[in-house]
Amino acid sequence: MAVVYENTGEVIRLTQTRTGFRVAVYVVGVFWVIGAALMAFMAGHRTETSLVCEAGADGCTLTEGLHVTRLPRAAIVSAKLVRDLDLTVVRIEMDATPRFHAICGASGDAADGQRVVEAIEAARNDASHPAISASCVGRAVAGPNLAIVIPAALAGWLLVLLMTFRFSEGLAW
Amino acid sequence: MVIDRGAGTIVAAGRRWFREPWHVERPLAAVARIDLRSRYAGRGQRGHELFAVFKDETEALLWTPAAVMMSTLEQRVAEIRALVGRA
Repeated sequence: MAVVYENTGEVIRLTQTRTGFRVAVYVVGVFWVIGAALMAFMAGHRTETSLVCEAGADGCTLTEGLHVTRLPRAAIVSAKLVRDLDLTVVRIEMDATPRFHAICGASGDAADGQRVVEAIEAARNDASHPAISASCVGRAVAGPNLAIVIPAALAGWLLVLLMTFRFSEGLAW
Repeated sequence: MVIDRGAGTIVAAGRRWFREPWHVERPLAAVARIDLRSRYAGRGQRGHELFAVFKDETEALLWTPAAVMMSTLEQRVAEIRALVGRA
């Protein structure tokens, strides 16, 4: 909002443009879109899931919820337990295909995930290893990450307050 | 918005969402009064609109201050009323 006011005593001229107001509306809109995308992203990463690994002589079968992935023994390069954000994730490096990631619980739930990793490693290293099964359940709380959403919501609210409260004309958007 | 006492005219032009742009040029002598209308806009705020009301009961929007101190607004309204009154 830009306002120009002139009073010469004989002439009063007042011009007002609203371009800045529109820009402010767009900025807030873009902010909320980014915030919504962040929330969706975090919610997607925190869905509760279960992972079952059945490792045998010819590789291992990973069942993640309803999704079954067959990993041939020869194609597995390594299996590691890594942290992704605040989740524990089993990361399986494959020979020719992309890495395979499976959520294995919240951070700190490393014990079950480690057993899955050990089962995969055992199947990979020893073709004569007897078939073993290991499982873990992602116990992450479903929903957005409040550590991101709350500050983002507060910042958005502050922006709205800045826009709507009338400070002075010096606040030229 | 231009109020020119020398030329004896008031010119108001503008545009708003969902309204046709307007351009009003009338003699100052046709102005009956300058109206400042306020309405509640939520969260303790008030929105203001400044109108020139003509003697034939038509009116022209002069200003919709969106970021102004109340003291500044009142001072400007007083100046506009004074200039129109002196015409």
